[in-house]
Amino acid sequence: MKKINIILSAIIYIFAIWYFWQILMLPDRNMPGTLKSSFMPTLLFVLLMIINTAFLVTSLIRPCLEKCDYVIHKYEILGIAKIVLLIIGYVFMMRIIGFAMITPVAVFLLMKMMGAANLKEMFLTSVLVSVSVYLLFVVVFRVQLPGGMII
Amino acid sequence: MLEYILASMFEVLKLQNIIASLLGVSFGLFIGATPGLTISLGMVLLLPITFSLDPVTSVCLLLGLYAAGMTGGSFSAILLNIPGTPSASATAIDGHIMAQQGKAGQALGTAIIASFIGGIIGLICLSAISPFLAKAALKFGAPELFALVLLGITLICSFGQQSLLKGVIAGLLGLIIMTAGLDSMTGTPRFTFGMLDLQAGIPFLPAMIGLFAIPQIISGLTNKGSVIPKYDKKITGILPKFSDVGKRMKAILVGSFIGTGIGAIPGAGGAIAVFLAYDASKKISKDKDNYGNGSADGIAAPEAANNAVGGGALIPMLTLGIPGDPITAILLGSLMIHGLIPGPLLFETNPQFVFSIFWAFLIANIFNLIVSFTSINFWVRILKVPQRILLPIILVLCVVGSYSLRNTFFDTGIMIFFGILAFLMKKYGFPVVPLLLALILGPNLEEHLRMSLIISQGNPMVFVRHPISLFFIIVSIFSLSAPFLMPSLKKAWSKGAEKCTPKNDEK
Repeated sequence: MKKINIILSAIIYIFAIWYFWQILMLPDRNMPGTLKSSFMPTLLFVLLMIINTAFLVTSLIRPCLEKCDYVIHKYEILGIAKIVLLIIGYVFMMRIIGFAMITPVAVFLLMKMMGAANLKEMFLTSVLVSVSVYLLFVVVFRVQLPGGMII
Repeated sequence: MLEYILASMFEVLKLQNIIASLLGVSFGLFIGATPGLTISLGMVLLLPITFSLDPVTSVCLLLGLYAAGMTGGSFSAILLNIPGTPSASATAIDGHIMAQQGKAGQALGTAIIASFIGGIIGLICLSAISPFLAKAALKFGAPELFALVLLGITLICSFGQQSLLKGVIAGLLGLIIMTAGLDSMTGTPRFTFGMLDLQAGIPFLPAMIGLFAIPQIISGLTNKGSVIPKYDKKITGILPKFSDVGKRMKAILVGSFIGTGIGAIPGAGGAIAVFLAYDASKKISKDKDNYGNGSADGIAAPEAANNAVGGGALIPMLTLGIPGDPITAILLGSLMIHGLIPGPLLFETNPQFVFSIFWAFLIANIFNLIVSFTSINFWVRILKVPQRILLPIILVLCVVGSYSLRNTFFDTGIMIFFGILAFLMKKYGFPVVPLLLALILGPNLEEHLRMSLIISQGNPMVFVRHPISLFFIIVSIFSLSAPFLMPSLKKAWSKGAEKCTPKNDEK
């Protein structure tokens, strides 16, 4: 756990340095009577460096008492990848064939990923969910949903 | 004043607001009763729907969910020993034992009544304290407002976290993320990387959806093997007798006042309030031994506390613009989408709306009582809805919700980013709430800080010269150092106690 905290601290340092690099690249548009737009980011950078150093030092000298499952398992990485791919695919297809056509497919796929086996239940749920969300957002609340390029 | 009170009452009693409140209550009971779904998640799922609604209708819907979600959490806690929300954890201790003893109806009835009374007491405190606090806060200048926002963020970072430093890092990360977009004072684009969508800053609605919903879906997908027990018995004898309610009154009142007080402290939250209420009611009870063995008082106190937390948490949100918990942070976000900025000025500029919030909270509690009592067996059946059906629905609502605010898929990308970030943060012990609060309060913090420094010509002593800002800064420093000081204080206290107390063994 101590090792993971040190790695996390290193990641935060890398992020902070990258952030500082971005601050240096900010356009200097100082207006009279105001503070530079880089003021707050610089202050936050300094605070992050101080707090992260404190985090690193405490991780090194104090025993880690936190009860936390620190290991990212393979199935969790797979879970994240599946969800991200599903959402990206869902959104991409939504732009092409529209919300109404792709939503039942997305729901069906996620149910399958969740371990559903009953085809009737999967089919009914995916159709009912899509119709309900469409009616709720488009008809009742008049929210515009993507119609797609094809349809 | 009276005309605003009456006008707001008639506004809230309009048919669409009544329907919104009822829908909010029903959805809240569903969310609360379903293990694994949180009130925060329910709120972010409902937020996109509120865009097209009138602000008062939105508030009726969201407060209905808030009040009922707390009560719904007790259903699964009592029947399955799985708290539907973290605030129902203490209810499970005696509630589930009562259910095993065949007194599930009595336990649920006690929880519902205690929730109602707790909610009403929270509301009374809210409506009594808020106007005075807002009036006092009106005198605050930029230094006081900066110190106040800083206090709100530091309290959230320090309360109930496993590691204070991780809480602070999460808060700083939120503040860093919120610096993206056009600088409000100079108009300079900051960290936009040439993307037009980023010029308005990070949209906090997709961020909130990502923070609360996506980790839930990922966890559901990775824990698909986990089985939630079922409760198949029909529940009877829910409606308690007046004499029974009278017997519970002491525990209910203790829970209600503790809940309101703890709720008003930003960051403390319901989970702390319920255990404090449970403990306090046990201490004053004549029947201490029954606690932990199926005591109805052991249900009444925490249930009153968790519903009173709502009223308490609304106090700093409405009067100071500082949310007391993640749920009020989301509520604050929803009001901001409608152009309403909670804080002392809201009481001056839109008093009718403020009173509408009080009325909306009242009818939410009344509907919560009625709906819970009349349809308890329906909500028990809801406990059986499997995750494989719920999670796809949540996913669709997340995608549609994140897209619908600005009709851009860029926001869906923001949701995915925050979702993965929240999952990883939780995994590595970083709290998500400080990040959310920093995202919401960050722009205010920067604005007041820069204004103060401009007024004082760059002299940071401006925060020390103003007594109120100095007080807030001292409390902020104390809240951050308390976790370090407390163990030594505790040690010193026990050492002192050891010296002062005569040892029984020495007699």
